[in-house]
Amino acid sequence: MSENNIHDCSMLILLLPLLGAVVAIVLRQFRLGDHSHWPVIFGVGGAAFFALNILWMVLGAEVGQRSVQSVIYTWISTGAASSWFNFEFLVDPLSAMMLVTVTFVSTLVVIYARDYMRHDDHPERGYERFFAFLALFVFSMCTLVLAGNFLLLYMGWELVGLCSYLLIGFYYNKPSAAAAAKKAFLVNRIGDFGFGLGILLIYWTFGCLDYASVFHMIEEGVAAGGQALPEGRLAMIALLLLCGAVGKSAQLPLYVWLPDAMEGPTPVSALIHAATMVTAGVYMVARCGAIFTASPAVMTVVAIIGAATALFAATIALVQNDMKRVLAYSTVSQLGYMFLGLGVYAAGSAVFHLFTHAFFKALLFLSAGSVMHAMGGIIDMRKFGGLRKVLPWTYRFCLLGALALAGFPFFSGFFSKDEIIHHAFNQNFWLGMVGSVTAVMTAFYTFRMIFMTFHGPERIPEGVHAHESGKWILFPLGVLSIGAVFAGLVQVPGEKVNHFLEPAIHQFHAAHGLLLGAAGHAVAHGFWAEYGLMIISGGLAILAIGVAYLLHVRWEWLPGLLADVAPKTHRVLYNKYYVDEAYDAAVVKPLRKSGRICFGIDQYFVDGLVFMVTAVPRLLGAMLRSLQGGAMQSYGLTMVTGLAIIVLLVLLA
Amino acid sequence: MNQLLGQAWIPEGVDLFRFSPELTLVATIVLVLAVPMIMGRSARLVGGIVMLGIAAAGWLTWRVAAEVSGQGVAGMSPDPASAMLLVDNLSCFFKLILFFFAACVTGMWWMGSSASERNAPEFFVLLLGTALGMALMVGTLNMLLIVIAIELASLPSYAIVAFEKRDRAAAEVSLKYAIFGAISAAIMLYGISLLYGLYQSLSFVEVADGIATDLATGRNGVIIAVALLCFFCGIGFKISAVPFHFWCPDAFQGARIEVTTWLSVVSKAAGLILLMRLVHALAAAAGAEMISALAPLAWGIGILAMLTCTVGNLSAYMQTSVKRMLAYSSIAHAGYMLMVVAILAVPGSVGAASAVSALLVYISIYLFMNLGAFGVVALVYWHTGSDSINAFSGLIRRAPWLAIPMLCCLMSLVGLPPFAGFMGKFWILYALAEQGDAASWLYWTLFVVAVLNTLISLYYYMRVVVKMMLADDGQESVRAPAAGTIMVNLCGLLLIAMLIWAQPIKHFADRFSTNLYSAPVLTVDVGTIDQTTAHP
Repeated sequence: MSENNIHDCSMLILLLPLLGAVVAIVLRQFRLGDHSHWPVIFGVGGAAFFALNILWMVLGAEVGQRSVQSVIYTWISTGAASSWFNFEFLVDPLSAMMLVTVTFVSTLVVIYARDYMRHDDHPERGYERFFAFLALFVFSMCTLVLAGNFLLLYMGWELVGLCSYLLIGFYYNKPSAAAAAKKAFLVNRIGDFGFGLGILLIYWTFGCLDYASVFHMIEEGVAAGGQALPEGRLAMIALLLLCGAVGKSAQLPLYVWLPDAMEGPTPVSALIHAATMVTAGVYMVARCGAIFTASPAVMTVVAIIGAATALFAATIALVQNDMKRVLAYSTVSQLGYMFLGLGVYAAGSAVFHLFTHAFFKALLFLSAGSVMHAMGGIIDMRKFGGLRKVLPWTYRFCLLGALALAGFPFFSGFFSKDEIIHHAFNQNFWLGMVGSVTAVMTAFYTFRMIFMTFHGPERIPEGVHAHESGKWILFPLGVLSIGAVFAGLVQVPGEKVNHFLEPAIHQFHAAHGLLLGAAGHAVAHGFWAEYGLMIISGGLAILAIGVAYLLHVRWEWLPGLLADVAPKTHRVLYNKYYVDEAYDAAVVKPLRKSGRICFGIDQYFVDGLVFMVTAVPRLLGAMLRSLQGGAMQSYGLTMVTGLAIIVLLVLLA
Repeated sequence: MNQLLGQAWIPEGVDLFRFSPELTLVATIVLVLAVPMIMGRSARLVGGIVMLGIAAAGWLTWRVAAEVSGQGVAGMSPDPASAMLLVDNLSCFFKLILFFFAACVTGMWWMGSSASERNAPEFFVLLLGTALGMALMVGTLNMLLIVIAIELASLPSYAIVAFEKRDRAAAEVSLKYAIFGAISAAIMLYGISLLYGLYQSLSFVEVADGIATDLATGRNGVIIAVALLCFFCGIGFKISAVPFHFWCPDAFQGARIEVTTWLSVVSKAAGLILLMRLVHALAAAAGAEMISALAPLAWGIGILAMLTCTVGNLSAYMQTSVKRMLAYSSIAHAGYMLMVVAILAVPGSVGAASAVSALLVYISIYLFMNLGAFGVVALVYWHTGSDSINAFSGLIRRAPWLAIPMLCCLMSLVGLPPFAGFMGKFWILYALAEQGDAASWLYWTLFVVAVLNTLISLYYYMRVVVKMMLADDGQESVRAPAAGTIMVNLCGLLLIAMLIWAQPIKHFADRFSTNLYSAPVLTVDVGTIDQTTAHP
């Protein structure tokens, strides 16, 4: 694998989307804003091409040489070589796989957005801004993935956060969108604060920030200057980094921003808040395996957070009526699966689930967008139904995505989710049970959504001219559904993905002391040990789909009755466990109240203080101004006196 | 001088080549005066000649830089031991900056003033005259030539500040500027004459040797201190160090904006580099055993730097004219740069290399920040006729392509990332911290003062940003010439690019700051003096 080629491809992957963003904005200056999707499609598509190229090169290299760290240039060097900050990339199987996923899904979403952001072939207001932000996001995400040190990782991390903020608040005139953007930004701030501290602690401990040196030093068990690593330092770093991951990947307790983020345009939800950005936390934990696996307690924390989030979000998704909200909670739940996978040392399975999830969740979101587009912006499933005749193609694609998400046998989600549950069972029975129960719920709510939207008698909101979407929308759906159906096959037979990822995540494997991704196989052989769980979870998924069918197509009166029988449960679930309200009461309101007190203090005390503090410079400024009165004599006097004072000072000193 | 006249010395070809950028400037001045007599006083024609002349001078400097890069200093003098003119990496670096900046300022003039300009030849004679003076300032250690160079840089600037003859305010500030210049020149000449009286030499290298001997034996302490301070006071006037700064805000506000831009960067940079050379020569002559003897010098420059920085920033607080605010800001920035010079006052200092290179980086970055900021002020001024802060209200709507580069430049002037000003401050603070660890707590004091000043400066720069971005009183949009818009946007982009490529810029500066140390003129006889003085 030639380092030069890797280097060039990496640069192109970054620069092409950036160039696309710039051109999209510049086009507007020439009143060509209508066409601003073209530079972005080419930029992001070009990035996808080179990402595939990188994957190809990594695959073609020998296993021992699949990891290439290339320094583009030194950003700052302060003396000793160890304290150089380089602009450097790390290309290895993990980043190659992430790159392909990110750029590929991005390309399709950008193509999709071309029609989605138009109404009757008139571009929406801010059309070019939208595409420029999308391209900027791809640039940021690729920076995050390609980063070869923590500094660059942090830069990408913050940049994607910024893009997310800008895109959630794309309709900034809408108060709810502006509020959601603010919420996302602030909640992420909490996580990023920990993340930043973690990186500082890494620098403090090891005196450098690039992956290779840090991980090497951890392996050797030394800190900066050859000293021994302080007790518990790695666990502390891991927990701080985990803070960032929990915020970015919407895990308990910081998941609250993600459902609200659906206020952004649907392509944004599909790309940033389902397929790519929110998986950054998973990527980061997988990348920092050396840090996380050093402490089994931290791994347990990761697993428990993941399992709890998966279950918690799935229960909420059971009763939501907004199609995008169902998908949002489902995303939170699936991210929980990935964390569960990481926590039980199955990083390969977690990344594999990330990979398949990107396809089917993007597909589902984009289908929901297609429905929304057809329904004139209405997304409440109670207001429409039986759309399978009106939107035949959307229905088919959406169904494929739903089957994948539900874990229907031999669809992509089936393989990846099953692996995680399998590993969870090997680690701890209860973790496995949570995974299985969540899987059943997933199948149920997914098909509840499908049946409510597409089956039953046809109902279309009044005044809406329902129509199937155009080819710009259907083409990405088609491509993604191919991925949703077949992406799982890259893993079977033989767990190829896990073996491929091995060089990047071997610490998980080493720490677990078992062969990666095949824990079960190493423990027990035989048909049932290997396929039993698979058959059971496949069967359960089908069963849950059947129940959903009965409840929402056959006995439509039953859900209502169930809600009446257990009104409290329903209300609690419908209101998302009142977490937002609880946060509101426990955090936001007190903060506001203290904010008001602070505001009072600020206005009367701090402002007074600031006034006093600035009064000093202002007074001095005024005094100096009076010196600058314009009279020559005083100028000359000050000058000569000043000189005399300095002479005296120097002589006396 | 007698010797020079008596032998009718004729410089060699290679000396002439090394001196060719300055000679090109002289030729351009002659052409600017002569050609309009034949071909008519067209402003554009004059501008074209000037551009060509500057380009030629810049190209020659580049050639000279390549030639001298290995061997350090070359002298232009019949007596090799006492060079009149020095050509080394440092002077080449500054001249490159100078000519580049001259081209930019000429470009500004072309956009804003050339249409109504009736005295183009005179304008450029004055402008190029100051440029010639500055080019000489950075290329000499001969005290006579230092005086001539400073006066050559100053006299035309008095006149060019008052170039709008009918403008009473301009005439007034010009007069003040001239009187100040006269006072400080007098003080400086007093100091120089004291030095000449003490050591009977005009070469500062020899003077520095004499000072080192005297300090080692404890003779003439008071008179040396007074003489040096008076000498440096003249340079302090050029870089508008407090308390010699009074001319600066008035002159900058009264002058045409392209003149202000010009003076705000290069005139200070030239003074700083000259001061750096002098201080370095002193430190080199003194040698590492005499750190304490030179401590008053370090403290003197350090205190001046702190004062300059703080007074500049504080005075900028209440300004309502953006142009005047930027004038005060330029005083403050001279203060930051002066802090670095204090590092050089420590003989054998470990931090000298990073100090010189930090200063060069800072000057290169400062050039673009100021060019961009003054450029936007100019474009707004040409349209609205006002440089008050209110003219910037709602600029993001009225002229987004002016507001954005202005934002970049102002943030960069504060020293915030992701703009290059951050790197400039970073290297200065780094050099100070390095020196603070190695030498004296003076440098940690300077460090703290620099950081506090950055905080203070945030306020007044952001005042403009807030006005541009958040306030809007519905003024009409600003129409700016395309070339000007492109120029200021390039400055903004460059400021980001110079942060992204921070290390290459630093390497570039490192390369140009090295041979200051291997200069044969500077190291002459240092060893023998040390031996004779340390063990008499």
